[in-house]
Amino acid sequence: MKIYRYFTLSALLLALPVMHLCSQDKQVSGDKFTLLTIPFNQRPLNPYKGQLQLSAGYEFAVRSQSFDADGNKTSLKDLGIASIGHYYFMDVRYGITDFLEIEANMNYLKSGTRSETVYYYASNPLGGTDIVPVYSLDETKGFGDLCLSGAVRLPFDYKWFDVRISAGCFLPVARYKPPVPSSTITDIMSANSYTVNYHNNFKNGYGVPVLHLSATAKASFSKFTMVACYTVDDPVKEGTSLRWTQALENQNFTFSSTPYKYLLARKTEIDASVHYQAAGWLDLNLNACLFRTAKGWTEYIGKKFSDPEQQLISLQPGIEIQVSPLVRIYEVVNLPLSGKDIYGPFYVSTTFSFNLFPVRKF
Amino acid sequence: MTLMKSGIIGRASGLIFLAAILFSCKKESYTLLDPAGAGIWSHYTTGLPGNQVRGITLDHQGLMWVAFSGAGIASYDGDSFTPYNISNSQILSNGVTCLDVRTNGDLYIGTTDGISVRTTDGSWLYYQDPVNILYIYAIKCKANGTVVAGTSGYGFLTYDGTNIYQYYDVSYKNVKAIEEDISGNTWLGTDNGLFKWTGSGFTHYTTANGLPTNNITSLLYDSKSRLWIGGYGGTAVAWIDAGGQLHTQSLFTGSADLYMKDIYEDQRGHIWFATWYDGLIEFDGVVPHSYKVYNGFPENDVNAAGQDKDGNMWFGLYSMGLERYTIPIQ
Repeated sequence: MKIYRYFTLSALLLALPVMHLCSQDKQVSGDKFTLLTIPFNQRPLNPYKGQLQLSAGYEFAVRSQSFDADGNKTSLKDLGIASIGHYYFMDVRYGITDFLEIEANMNYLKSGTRSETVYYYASNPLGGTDIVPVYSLDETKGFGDLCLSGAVRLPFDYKWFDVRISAGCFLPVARYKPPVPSSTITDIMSANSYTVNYHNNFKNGYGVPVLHLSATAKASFSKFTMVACYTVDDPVKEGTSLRWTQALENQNFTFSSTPYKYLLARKTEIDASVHYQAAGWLDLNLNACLFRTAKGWTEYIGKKFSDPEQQLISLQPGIEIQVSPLVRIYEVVNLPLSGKDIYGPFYVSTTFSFNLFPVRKF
Repeated sequence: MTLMKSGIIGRASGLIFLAAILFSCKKESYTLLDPAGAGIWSHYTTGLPGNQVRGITLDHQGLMWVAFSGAGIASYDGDSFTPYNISNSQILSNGVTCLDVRTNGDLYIGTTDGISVRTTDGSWLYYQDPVNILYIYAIKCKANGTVVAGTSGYGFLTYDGTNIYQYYDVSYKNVKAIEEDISGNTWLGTDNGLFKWTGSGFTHYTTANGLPTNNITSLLYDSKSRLWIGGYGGTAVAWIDAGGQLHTQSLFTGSADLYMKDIYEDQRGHIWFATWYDGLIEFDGVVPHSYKVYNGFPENDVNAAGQDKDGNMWFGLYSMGLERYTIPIQ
């Protein structure tokens, strides 16, 4: 059944270019230069027929605050455990027709999260005090799953408004089981005086197929444009991963793993943004983002515990610059405002987008 | 016309695509536990027949049994405690010291005056020495159905379902703790060191072999084939690995004389040490975590540890009843 589903999805995605070859759509007027330089407030949400868009981006995130279950904010910076993350992503979009596109994207994540240092004290028989500081680092490193999707937009001829519906799936191609921890013991002074360095490793893959659905609406009023987008990522099934148990024997770490089941949380995101076309090459925008998770669970000691339902509200000012007919740059800053059971990262995201018509003849 | 054709194909393919995705969306529904209820400590005093707990065990029906010093026993069904004492049952004495469940489901209860048995049908049996008053220190029901009881001053008794045998030697006259390893060997903790009894012979371990103390008061054979050895005296606990090698583990108490009352392993593999004076200590395999009065634990003297049918940890206190701990999510 699993193979059948993948086959169905893959066949549909592969069939789209064939349909493209068979179709004879009405051509959007204008030459390549005109199409590639149309400003945001006059542009449809999909690429044009035959347009190939290659985007590559980098996001630098600083986890300087977190929100607890009651929404109270904690400054991780004050606790000395702020951390950074590096997120790289690639996206390829191709316009089969002016209203139908296919898309593929992937990402790579590298981030580390430190916990507060805990000190254990023990008087020793000689009358002194032995100290064991315990440091803890959770490191996530690796590729995310490959997302393949298709999108259709309406109306077929672009008006002042546009609606786009996208559907696809994250294919579980990336590693997801946590590798063996790299924990160490250092600063060994005596039997009861040393430093414990927990170093847990994680991967970036989901481990199961995750459906990706989104709906976007856009309306332009002269230089102003309003965009609203609803996105949901929902796992197809539960998965199985590993949990590592660490033990210290004769001041050497030993590791053993036990499997556990999990169901990824359903992620939903609602974005609402206002754009201002300051110049033909410059779009200024401000996005409000609500991110939520729900319905996930994790098995632990044979029981299923629901995952905390996370929520994050952020404000995201951004710009889009048309550098040349082929190149656009997107710059977005994320400012977390409130949340529940979640880190509130401040991040700066930079995306370079290359647009061209590799096969279409004008 | 061509535009219309293309449009229909495009829309139809979109619908098929969505249908394929929705088809694959079926999921089962589960009753999930609230993570907010995990990692919570709760203190129990009301409803208990006494406040001095001596032992905790779980029977095959899911009832948790608690032994109380001077107040009999009580069963806990997950909701309330039901007491059993000399007034409302045929238990030998209210002075209960230990208890364990036999493979057939019968509850064996060590008292200050012999052994009481509560069978699965609710009837009561007992064993008393015809001459001496048997103060039972420890009871262990082995996997093969044999019951081993350690006494104060009279060695240990075994019951194989038919006959009762007594084993006595001055070197192991006071048997304070009993445990069984995976090979079926019986380990006896005495005030004269540790004895391994194979059924036909004894091996004796003392401080000369590396034990922190010769006064052994608690034993546990864990899921990693380690025999944990707790005693009164010394600064650490000891454990013997599957190869028979002896190790010591500091519990970071700072005490010159640890007094171990009970050792228990939870389903995560964490080892819990119930001590007098040093409170409760949780060892996750790397660092011992201490629970004492200074960080919110009711008292520093802990007699017993066990679990209920839901996997919650229970700790029996010396004078303040019971403490429950729900296992946190990690």
